[in-house]
Amino acid sequence: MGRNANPAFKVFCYVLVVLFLFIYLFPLFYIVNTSLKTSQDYLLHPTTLTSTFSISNFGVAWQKANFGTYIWNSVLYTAVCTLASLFMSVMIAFPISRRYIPASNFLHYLFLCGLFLPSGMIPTFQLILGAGLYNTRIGYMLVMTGVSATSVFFFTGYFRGIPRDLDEAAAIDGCGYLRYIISVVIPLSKPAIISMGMLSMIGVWNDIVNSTIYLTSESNYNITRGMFVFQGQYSNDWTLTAAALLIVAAPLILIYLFGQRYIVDGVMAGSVKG
Amino acid sequence: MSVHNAAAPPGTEVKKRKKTFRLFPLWIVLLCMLPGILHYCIFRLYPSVMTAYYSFTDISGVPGTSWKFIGLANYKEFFILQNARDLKAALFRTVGYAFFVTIIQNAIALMLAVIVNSSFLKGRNFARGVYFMPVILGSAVVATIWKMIFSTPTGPIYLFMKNILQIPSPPSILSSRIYAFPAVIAAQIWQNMGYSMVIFLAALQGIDNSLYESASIDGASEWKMFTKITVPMIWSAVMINTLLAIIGSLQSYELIMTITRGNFNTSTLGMMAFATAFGGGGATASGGTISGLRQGYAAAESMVLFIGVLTATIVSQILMKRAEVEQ
Repeated sequence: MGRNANPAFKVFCYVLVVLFLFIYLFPLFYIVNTSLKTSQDYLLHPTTLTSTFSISNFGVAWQKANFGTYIWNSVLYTAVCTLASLFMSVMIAFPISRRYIPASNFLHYLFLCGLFLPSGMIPTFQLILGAGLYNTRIGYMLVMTGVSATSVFFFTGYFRGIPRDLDEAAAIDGCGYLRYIISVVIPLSKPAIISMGMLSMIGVWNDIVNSTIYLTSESNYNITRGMFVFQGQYSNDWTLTAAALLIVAAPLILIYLFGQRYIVDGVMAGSVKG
Repeated sequence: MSVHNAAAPPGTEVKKRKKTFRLFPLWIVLLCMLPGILHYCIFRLYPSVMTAYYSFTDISGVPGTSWKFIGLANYKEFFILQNARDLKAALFRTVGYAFFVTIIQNAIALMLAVIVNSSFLKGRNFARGVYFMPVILGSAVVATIWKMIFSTPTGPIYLFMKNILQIPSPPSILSSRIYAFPAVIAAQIWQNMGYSMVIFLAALQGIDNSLYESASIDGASEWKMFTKITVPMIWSAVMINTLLAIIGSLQSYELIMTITRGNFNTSTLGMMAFATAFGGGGATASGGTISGLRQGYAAAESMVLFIGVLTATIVSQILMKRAEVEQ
């Protein structure tokens, strides 16, 4: 609606926007504020602004929640699952987009199925259990990796925009297929790779359901599960919980600040195709 | 289908080789696809189909226990042998959860999308950014945030009720059999509203501004423009958002699991299936636990949910197509 909307309407809009900004920002502000308080200060004056700015909560939470181990697990899971998912999706999407293989239509529909079929949590569990991969990093990463229909369609659409002449030029010059994909196709599809990569990273980093199912020993926990268990154990000490929460959320917020556009693009792709 | 003879030398030879010539050798293309296709078949298609099969067995989550085919016994237990009140409560809660999330989330999302799409609004990009942020935070983080906000006796909501609303002994929201469920619904909406809003925004940006200009010259009110121009123009986005919210909220149990573990009358069918299969509260409608990780029974619960989601999807699509025609 244009600039010449009537003033009462404008005021109404501002009021709503501010109200919802409050609903969205207050909880975050409250967490940051709490994480900077000492425990006594929080218990006596939970809602006042922090006067202590005690950053020691972060150190204590890091120690007590054993984040030193969990963060490396999370980094490993996130990196491996994201790279594997991206690689598999690109390798499937490229030939489909070019129709380089017989039955590319069939494959297209096969992946389309994935959008509608129910999730198979229980058979997946039985599969991992049967393979002896329960409570192992490998088993967990196998479950967390995935070629989603969304990413296949997103990449297929994107690759159609890369001129075929490049394929031909590369093939004439004797460039191998794998090298062509890695050194030409992937660099040319950076925005698509970043979008899908970020979505995958966010998904793996945030996972709580599969880490609850598949990771039983503490040495394998990801940081999200570590934070969740820590919150259960120290449920009365909200200052430590707030600090632990911010440690887990910090990378997400950083990714969001720098890659908001890519994330929104990726999310949109999923919704439109879905 | 996959013929690109531009790279081949011109001449009659091309025609002969047309069927087999490829820019890149087929075997290497297929070899590169193989890991992804295998992973997809093993970890997506196979489990999906096997859920139906397991729902006719008494398989358990405990390794090494024997299991057998038991026909429709799981379904019979779910629909007939189960306490009718429990069954009704669980189904009502599942439908209620989806209904309130879908309606409220989309109503707020549409309203905010229209507002932050207005060119007069200062700081609209900032507002969009803020509203979308919880989408990336993940259920564990969102759940912990809301546990803290609703906590007793130091949480801000508790203090608000006590000091400003002057309620003498405010209830502990997240361990109340009445208030925990609405609180989880609110958290779910808080987390996902930005997602719906972004979809509405994209649709709104596709509307030609001249429509609004000529309508405002004709003296149309803001509300009239909204109902006569905006809504019809973005109807496909309304349909997509409704569908996504219905499917998402019917199946969603992550926030229920992380906030209340399905206790205090918050367990929906999705949560029950998870809890029956992997333990935890909420395996029964009243929040109790079923011992023994009965994954066959959980598979049956998943199948009931899947049929429900399918039905809701089809019905909502038919209703919305009809509404589109009527407009």
